Amino acid sequence: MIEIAFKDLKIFFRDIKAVLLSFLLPIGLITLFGLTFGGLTESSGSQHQTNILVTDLDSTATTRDVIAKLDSLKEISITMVGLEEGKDNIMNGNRLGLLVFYKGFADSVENGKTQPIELFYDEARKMEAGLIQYALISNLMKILGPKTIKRKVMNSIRTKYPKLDTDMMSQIEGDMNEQFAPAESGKDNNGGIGKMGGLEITGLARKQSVNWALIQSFAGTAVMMLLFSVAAIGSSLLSEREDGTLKRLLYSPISPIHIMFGKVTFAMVVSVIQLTVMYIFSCLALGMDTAYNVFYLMLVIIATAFACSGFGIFIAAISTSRKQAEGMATIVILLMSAIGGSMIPIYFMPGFMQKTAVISLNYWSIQGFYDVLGRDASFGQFIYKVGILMGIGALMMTISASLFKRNLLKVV
Amino acid sequence: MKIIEVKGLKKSFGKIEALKNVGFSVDKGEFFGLLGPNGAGKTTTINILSTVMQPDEGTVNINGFSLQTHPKKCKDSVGIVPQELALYNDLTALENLVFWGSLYGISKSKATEKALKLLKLLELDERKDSRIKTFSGGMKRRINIAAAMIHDPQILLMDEPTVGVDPQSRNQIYEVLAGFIKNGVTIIYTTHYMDEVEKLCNRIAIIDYGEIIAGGTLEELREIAGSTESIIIHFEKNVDSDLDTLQKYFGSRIVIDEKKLIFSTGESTNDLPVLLRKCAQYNLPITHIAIERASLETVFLKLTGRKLRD
Repeated sequence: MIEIAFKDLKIFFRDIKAVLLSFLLPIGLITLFGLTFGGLTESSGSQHQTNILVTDLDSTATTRDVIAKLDSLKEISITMVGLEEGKDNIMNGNRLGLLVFYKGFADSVENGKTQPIELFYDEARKMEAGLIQYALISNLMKILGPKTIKRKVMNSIRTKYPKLDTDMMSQIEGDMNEQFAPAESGKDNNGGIGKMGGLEITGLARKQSVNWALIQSFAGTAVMMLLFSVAAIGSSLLSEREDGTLKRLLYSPISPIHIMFGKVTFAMVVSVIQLTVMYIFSCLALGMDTAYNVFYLMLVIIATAFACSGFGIFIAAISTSRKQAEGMATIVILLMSAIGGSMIPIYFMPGFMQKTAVISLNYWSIQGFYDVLGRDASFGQFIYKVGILMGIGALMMTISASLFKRNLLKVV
Repeated sequence: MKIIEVKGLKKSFGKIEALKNVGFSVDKGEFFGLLGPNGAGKTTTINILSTVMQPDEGTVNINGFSLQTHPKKCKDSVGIVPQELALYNDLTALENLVFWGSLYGISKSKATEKALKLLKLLELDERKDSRIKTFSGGMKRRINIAAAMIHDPQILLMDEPTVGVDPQSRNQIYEVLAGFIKNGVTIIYTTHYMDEVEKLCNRIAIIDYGEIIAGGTLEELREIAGSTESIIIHFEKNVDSDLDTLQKYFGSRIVIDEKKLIFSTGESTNDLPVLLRKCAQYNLPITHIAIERASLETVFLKLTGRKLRD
């Protein structure tokens, strides 16, 4: 068994082009996905800054103050334009959104009325616009909410209780000003009314400043590429059948199961090396967070390698020719990668797709890497994912072993 | 001493009876030829002897061990040279041999020592560190044989080992095989080349439709076939179209190959005048006549009624 694995490793590392392809392709894809998901240059502490066009038709101190406050936000940058120019830019696809403060905005704020404000967006970027709309509403509420509410309450009291004397009204207004002052000044840190309308969002993780996008790029790509590598190793068994070397292996005293496990051992070694190289590259070259516990990381790597090796052998065991195995492997890998989160992060998928993801080997491996690279999960919390991966590998190898005994004898 | 004893072998693949009742024995140190047309059952027999296929019925004893009860001991005794060039192209000649040796539990140092000896014997020692993919077809064939001998088997099963080999390499292979025989190795040899069998084999078994239809030395086979001689007549023109007419008279003892007629006989002195009269009767102008000892091809044809490649 070891002899077969050693022989295959020797042949594998002798093919320089194949070796480079096995490592350079995943490295290239990890880098590409890292860039795509915005994970290479940013940590979780910073976000994308979206440029928004603003037209100020009111041109008052209030609008200038609101615009300045929006511009100071880290997720938004502001460019002032005229209305028509702004609309042209949106329709031409040059910019995502145009925020228009219409005449009377400041009066509306002062009088507690609905403010004349409108967001134009590029129809082609509807999803993106939804996100920026959320950010704008949230922040406008923070900026204008307390003042608007205060005015609305005061107007309502004046309308409902017109007979209240001036002193009482002054006292109520004074109390209101006192209550809203911290929120209006932006100094309310106690979850008071100043937070109204703006849901405070705080990421929770044991580690700070985790670059999740990069972990996703590494884990998703590495597992997908590994599946392609091991599928090729599995197919090599079928090549041996076509070349006649498998027949000669069967002539020797080693059993068919030993031949199969020789290939599994080879696939395991290549898989562990490939995942380790990908991990080291992602850490050193792309700045991915290192694992907090190397032992846990190795467990996830070995479990992933085991499950993937099982997959590679399974594909070989159910195929009757190399071409059939390659075709089948490509379809299954792309499918598993799509639903398992290798191509698109799970959190972008609809609910039922997220539930379906658990049938994919990719999902459990990616979650395992999330645990050890980002979440700093305890042994108890992540070991079941390792267990599931090992279970997938063991199940596939058991099925392959029984199929193998039967199919292998067709060689002669 | 019988080193291989095969009795009552039967093997079916669905409705096809590949082996009906095959039985033969081979003495230690013998060069045994197994001849038969395609689909006759040669490869099935070899597969059973090499332990990768189980017979439906029958017994096989190899080197005193039953194949059914001691397959591993049988495997240790047998080296197999398959028809395919079953070698790893990206490994060197030496690495290939050491690898195949390691599967039989031979240590790396011993396997290397044995491999170097074999490479020298096959005149490939200077190419020991070259990858197989750089070898010519003939060189690969020789390494294919060395790979079967790496664990010092007492029996060598060879399935068409010289297919596509140039005459010079074939002669080298024959010399090496003669050396193995001298050292007490028993060889079972299947081939399409009749001249190889005539030249190399002490005894021959002819298999057809899953049965051994004749066995013995070439001389014994000639006797069995009743065709110890061949009358060979060369004509001026192609006489293929006259085959049917001549066969109506002489039966299947006649074979025509373009301008050549081969007539199998045990009594050439009686048959030659009759044959010449018939040629004159059908106006077939003769250029040359020869009487030769019957070749294996003639014997095979007589026994099976078809050419080896039919």
